[in-house]
Amino acid sequence: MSEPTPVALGKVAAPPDKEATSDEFYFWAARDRVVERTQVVTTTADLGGREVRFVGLVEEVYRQSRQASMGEEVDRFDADPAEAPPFASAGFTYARAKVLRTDPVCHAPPTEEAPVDLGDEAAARLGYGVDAMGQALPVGLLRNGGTAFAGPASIDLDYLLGENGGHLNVNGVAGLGAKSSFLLHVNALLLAEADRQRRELGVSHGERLQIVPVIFNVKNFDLFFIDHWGKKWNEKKGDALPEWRPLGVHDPAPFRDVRFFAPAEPSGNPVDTGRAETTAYSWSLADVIAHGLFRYLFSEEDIYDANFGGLVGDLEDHLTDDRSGEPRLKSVGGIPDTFAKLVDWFRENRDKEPKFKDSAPGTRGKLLRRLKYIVNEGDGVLRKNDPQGKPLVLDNEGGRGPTVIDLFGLRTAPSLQRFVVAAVFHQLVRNRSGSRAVKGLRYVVTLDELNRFAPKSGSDPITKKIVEVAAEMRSQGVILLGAQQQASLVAPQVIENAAVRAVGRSGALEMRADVWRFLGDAARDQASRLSAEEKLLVLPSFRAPMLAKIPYPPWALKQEDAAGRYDPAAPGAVAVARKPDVTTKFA
Amino acid sequence: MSTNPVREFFRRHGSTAVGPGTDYPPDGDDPDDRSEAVDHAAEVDPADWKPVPNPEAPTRPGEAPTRFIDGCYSGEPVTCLWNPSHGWPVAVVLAEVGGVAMKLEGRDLRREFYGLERVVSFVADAFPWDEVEAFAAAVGNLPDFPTRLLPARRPGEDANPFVYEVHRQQAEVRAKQEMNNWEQIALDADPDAPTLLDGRLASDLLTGRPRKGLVVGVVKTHKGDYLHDQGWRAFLRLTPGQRTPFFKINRRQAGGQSALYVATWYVKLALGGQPNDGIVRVEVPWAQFVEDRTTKDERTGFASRLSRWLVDARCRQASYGRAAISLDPVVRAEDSLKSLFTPFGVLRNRFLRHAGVAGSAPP
Repeated sequence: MSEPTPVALGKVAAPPDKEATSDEFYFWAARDRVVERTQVVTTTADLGGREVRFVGLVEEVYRQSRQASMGEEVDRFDADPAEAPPFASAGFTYARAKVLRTDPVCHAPPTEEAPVDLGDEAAARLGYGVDAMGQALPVGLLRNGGTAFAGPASIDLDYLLGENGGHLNVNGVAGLGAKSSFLLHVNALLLAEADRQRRELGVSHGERLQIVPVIFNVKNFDLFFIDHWGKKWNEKKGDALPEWRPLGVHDPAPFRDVRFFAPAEPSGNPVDTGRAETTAYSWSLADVIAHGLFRYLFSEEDIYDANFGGLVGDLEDHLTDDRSGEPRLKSVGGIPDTFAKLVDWFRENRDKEPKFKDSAPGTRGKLLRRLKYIVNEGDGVLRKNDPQGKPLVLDNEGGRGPTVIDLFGLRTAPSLQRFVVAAVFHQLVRNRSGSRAVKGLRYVVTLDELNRFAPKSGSDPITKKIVEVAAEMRSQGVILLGAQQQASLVAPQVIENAAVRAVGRSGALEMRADVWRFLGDAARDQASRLSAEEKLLVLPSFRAPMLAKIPYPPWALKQEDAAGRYDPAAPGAVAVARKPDVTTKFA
Repeated sequence: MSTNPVREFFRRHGSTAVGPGTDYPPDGDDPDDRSEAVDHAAEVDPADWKPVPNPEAPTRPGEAPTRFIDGCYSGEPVTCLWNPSHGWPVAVVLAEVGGVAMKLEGRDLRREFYGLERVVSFVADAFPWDEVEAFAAAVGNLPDFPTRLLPARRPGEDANPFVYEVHRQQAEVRAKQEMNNWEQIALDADPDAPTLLDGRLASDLLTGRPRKGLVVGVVKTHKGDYLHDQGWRAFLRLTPGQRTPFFKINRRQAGGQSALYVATWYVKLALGGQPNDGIVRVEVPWAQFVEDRTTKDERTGFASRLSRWLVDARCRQASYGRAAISLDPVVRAEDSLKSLFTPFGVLRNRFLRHAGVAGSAPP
């Protein structure tokens, strides 16, 4: 089959002040061609006897008239719009393109008058190095101008899941549903990919990808309906289905096998989430000791006070029996077995127990007051009078749907929200450490509102835990899919450690923050004008952000948006992930 | 000894690099300027000349130009040779010359035709002809710098051949003549379209060339004195949009081989700082001017409509140095053609390298 004829757009131009560099070049546009920002373009130049192909991304398009001043523009019409000068202005269009890639590698600019063609899917793949990706995962359609596409927009799983980097961070303003939607989208694609590998490689394959999605619900109970069809899906699917196919998803559907957890009320029942199939979660004193969570009960300023922190450690030691190798609550010697009894016990013994006498009486009194406050505030999630709770226990192998854990029900108790987040991460870290680790397994933790859970100035245990996950745990298979409205307000280590970043529409002021400087002026301006379904994708291997259109999701994004529940057993309702139309290299 | 004929020619005749220099003597009229009979009574009695206001009437079909021709010359003397028998200093002029035609499509101007050539010119008679022929062949075949030799006329009997500028002017006139040739080629590329030329009409414009389309010449500089006293008074009182009465001149080529009768008049396109600013002279071949216009009123109407059209077509870019006497399509033609020229500094250095006058090109 013959190669398609390239669409000639213009030629490289390099006059003074518009010189081509190894990073960018300008080109003028043929008079009958429309050049648009975000188009992929190619040009070829003979450099030292070697033909070098350049793939570029149009960052801005300019129109220039022949007039030297606005005055001359006015004079042509004598300030009268009805006037028609006999000759057109003969203005011209030119564009600035960022060099995405050269083939072969060449650190030199293209030469003037080199022909510039509109890039196609192959050019886009070359430009963004899809051919060099370890594991390409198409997540959307790559914009090639205002309405056209240049094939799938792919990210490299090696950068998302820990081979070369890890984590995904999404930024965007509130209200568009774009952050949560994209995080769910990536979850769905990862599950589909894991499912594909399971089918193609076999269940027993030791290195097949296994995904355990853990999704924190932070706003209303929106994510408690991701196993329902979205109300607008039927209306939108005509346009959406063709956009899902290049992603390897031919029958997009809501999530299946989802488990929903919500905080327990003092009665032991879960808070009302709007759906019956919700399991309560809670921790008794014994659970807290067994899971090593005792210190997370206390606030940052308390726990990092040397005296107070030391006393907490002494108390935890006193309560813990670790002779079996696994910590558990002592069951001898009058050790309390509930939080309520712990408060009473500590009140009685704080001045008698030799271990506590290293601390000043004031510190002991402070610990007593903190315990009383925590036990009373946390009643429900922390079982005040029950010796047994229902702690969150996460899967240690893939194959199931997401686990949705509600934090919204604890919105009036931020310290408990943080405790729950810490408890989950703590468990994941433990599961992925040592002999418990399962090869190929990735815990993918979705957490929105990072500015709340890992604020920029925060040094509390939760922030530290998230920072630890971001900085150290990707190699152990704990991957954070985080999001926030303003990355400038999030702990820098969390942002910096995200190898894959997605930028949705963001505020212009936010885009001026230092954290976004790496994007460059063109992309920062672009970020403030994106539509809800668009994302700028940034990978370490990209020389310029990739603008992707994300297909409309089939699942409900909130209760009001939920239509019928997805039934995988219904005819034609099974979501089948097929091999994407692009080459990928797995296992 | 060099085996490069180009280098050998320059070496043998003592080539030395020279700069552009100054005009000496000032540019004279070209041969066409030599004997022009002027009839000031073609429209009104010479004593009754006064500014003629142009009506708003639009041009009729075939009256308004739709093609625009311009020529460009970019050249300078680059080296001086020594005549072997008399010791005359012979200037060698290097230039790029060309012509362009812009076509009006709707309101857009498109480059319809262009020709461009790199030439070197000097008084060839000053050197043995066999050497000149060898040089012409060699310089025309330079692999990356093909250049055509234009032998310039020997200076006239009244000129002092020991004056360098005399030779320089001869060479420049020859090179500019080649530019005129390109303009003519551009003009002939479409004999049917009404066409506007930048500059005066050559005396051999219509000689042997079938042409249906109107040809209009627009002259920006006024070297010839075509006006009588009342004519000057009318000229100096023109206000933008007005013209002088048309008059008739008989342009003959030196030697009388061909002649062209021309209808001509002055039009003030725009205000300038001085009374004679912003005025161009329009030329139309008399044969075309009177064709289908048998009465004086019809000719007056045509001159006025064409003048009105020229005023509308004036260049409105204040930033353009000669905007007051320029037409928009001609400026665009000039821009279009100039963009194809090599910057002269680059041209000069490459030529001198080939000539072995400067640079270090291998033999």
